[in-house]
Amino acid sequence: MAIFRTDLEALIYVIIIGIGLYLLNRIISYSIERIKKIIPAKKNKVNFIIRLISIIVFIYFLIEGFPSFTAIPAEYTVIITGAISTALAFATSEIFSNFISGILIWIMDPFDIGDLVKIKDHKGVIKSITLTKVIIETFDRIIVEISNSDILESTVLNYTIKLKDIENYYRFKRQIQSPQEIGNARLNLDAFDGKMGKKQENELRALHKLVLESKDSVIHAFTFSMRFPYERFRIKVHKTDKLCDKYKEIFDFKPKFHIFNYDSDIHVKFRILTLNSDKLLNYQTDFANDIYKIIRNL
Amino acid sequence: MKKRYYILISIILVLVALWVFYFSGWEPIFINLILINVIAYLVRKPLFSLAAYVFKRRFYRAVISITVNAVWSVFLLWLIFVISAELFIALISFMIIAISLNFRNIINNIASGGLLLMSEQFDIGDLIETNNTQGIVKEINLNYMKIREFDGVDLVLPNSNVYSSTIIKFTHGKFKVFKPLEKEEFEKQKYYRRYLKTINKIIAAKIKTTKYVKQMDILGSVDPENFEEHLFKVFDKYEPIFGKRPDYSVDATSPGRVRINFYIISEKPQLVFNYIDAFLRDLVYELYSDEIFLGWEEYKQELLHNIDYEKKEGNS
Repeated sequence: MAIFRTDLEALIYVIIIGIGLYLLNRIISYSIERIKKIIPAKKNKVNFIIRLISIIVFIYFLIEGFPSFTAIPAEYTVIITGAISTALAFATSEIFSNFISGILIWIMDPFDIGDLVKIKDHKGVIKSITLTKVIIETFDRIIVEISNSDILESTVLNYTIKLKDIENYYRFKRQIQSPQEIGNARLNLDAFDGKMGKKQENELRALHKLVLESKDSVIHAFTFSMRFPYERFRIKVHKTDKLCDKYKEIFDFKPKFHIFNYDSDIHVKFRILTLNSDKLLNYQTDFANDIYKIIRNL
Repeated sequence: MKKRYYILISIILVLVALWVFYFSGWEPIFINLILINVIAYLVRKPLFSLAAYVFKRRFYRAVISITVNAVWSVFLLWLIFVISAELFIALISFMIIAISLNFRNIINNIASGGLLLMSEQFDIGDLIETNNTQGIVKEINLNYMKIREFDGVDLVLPNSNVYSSTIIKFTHGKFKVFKPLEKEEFEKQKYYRRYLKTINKIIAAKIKTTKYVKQMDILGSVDPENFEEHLFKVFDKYEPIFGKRPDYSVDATSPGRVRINFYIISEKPQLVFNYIDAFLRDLVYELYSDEIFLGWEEYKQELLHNIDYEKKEGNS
C-alpha cells in the first residue's frame, strides 16, 4: 500500500520533501557553524549523520510513495531488486576489500602486535591490528595507518623472531644467530682471539638468561645500514665496536655489524637484538647518530 | 566506539526491548528476534573483553570474535527476513556479489601458490631473487611465501606477487654426469633389470648447484697489476669453504672504476648465505688494505700504551 493516492500527488510531495530536507540540512549546518562551543570534529559528525538520515528518508518516500510501484508484478520486483543490489555491490566492492584482506591477514598471520616490521617503506612497531587496517608507530614517532588491502599486496618484512623451545640454549642460539655470525663476518677479525670468542659466548648466554626470565619468547632483530669511507676504516671499526659495547646496556645485547657491499664507500649493516621493541624506537636513532659521529670525526 | 556512546545505545536498546516485550503486541517471532538481537549486541562486548583477558594469543581471540559476530549476523538477517523478505533477498544478493568480487585476491593467491608448488620452479632452501629481494626460500604456503634475507630477516610475500614477477634462480638443478659402466662391470652385474635400475638412479640423481652473482664496483685506486693476485689470495681461502673455487669477470668500466661480477659457487646455498659477507670483507680488506689500515698501527700502539698506563695507575 503506497503512502500517497496518485502518482501525481506522490511526485509533488516527493519534490516538496526533497526541497524541505535540503533546506533543513542547510539551516541545521548553518546553525551548528554559528555555535562556537561545538568542536569542528563534532560539527562534521552531526552534519554527516543528518545528511545520511535525509537521504534515507528521501529514498523511503521515493520507493513507498508512488502507487504504480506497488502494482509492479513480483517477478519484476525481484529482477529490479537483484539488479540494484548487483550495481550497488560493484560500486561498493572496494569497501569490502579491506574486510576480506583483514580475514586473509588473520589466516596468514605474518605479524602480531608489538612486532617490528617494514611495510611499504614504513619501518615501525605494530600498535594495533583491526579487520580493516594495521596501525604502525614509526621510528619518527609518526602513526601510520595502512589498509589491509594495501598490506596484502605488499611485501612484509618482520624483524621479530618468534622463538621456539627457548629452554634449550643451543636451539635458542641457532634461532637468533644471523648468517654473518655463523660465517664469522666480524670486521675486527685481526684482533679476534679465543678470549673474545669466549666473551661472545657469555654475551649470548646472558641474553638467553634474560629471555628465560622475561618468559616472552619473542626477540626483535632490527637491521639498518650506514656507509663508511675507506680511509682509516679499521680505526673506525674499533671505535664503532666500543660504541656497540656502550649500547649493549640499552639494547640487552651488543649490536653487531658487517660489510654487505661496497662501491665508492663501504656499506656496513648493523644488527640490533632486543627484547623490547620500544627500546628500538627510543634509542636506535641515537645509536645511528653516534655512528655517524664516528664516520665524520676522523 | 566511545564508552559513553556505547552505554547510551545500550540503554536505548534495553528500553526498546522492554517496550516491544510488554506493549507492542506484535507477533511472538518478531518480538523474540528483537529481544535476541538486543541481547546479542549487549553481550558481545563483555564477551570480547573476557576473551582478551583469558586468551593471550590473537588467534583464539579472533576465533571467538568471528564466531560471536557470525551467530549475531544470523539472527540479524533472520529479523530482516521477518520484517521484509524482499529487503532480505536484496541484502543477501548485495553481500554475495560484494564479497565474492573481493575473493578474487584470495583465489589469485591460492592459484598462484598451487602453480608455484606444482611447477617446481624452486624448492625450500633454494637461493632466489624476486620482488627485489634475495634470500633463501623458507616456506611456500597456499597464500604466501617466506624468504629469509641475507641478514637473517624473514620476508612474507603474497604468492601472486611472486608468480607474476621475475624470479632469478641462483640455485638450479643439473644432472650429475656419471661415467658409463665398463663392459666388464656390466657383465659382472649380469641382470639387465639391475642395469636399468642404475640408469634410473643416474637420471633421478638431480644435483643442485648454487651460483650466486655479486656485482661490485672496484675503484681506480686499486692497482690493476696486482688485482688478480689479491683476488686469488681470497679465492684460495674460500675454495675449501664453498667446495668450488669462486670466480670473477669484468662486467663494465666507467671513469675511475670497474664493475666486477663475482661468482660464488657451492652445492649448498646455505654456505653461500653464511659466508658471502665474510668473503666480501676479506676482498675489501685485501684490495684496499692501504686505505683501510691507514694509521691503524699507530692507533693500536696508542691504545696499548693507554692500557698499560691505566694498569700502572691502578696498581699505584
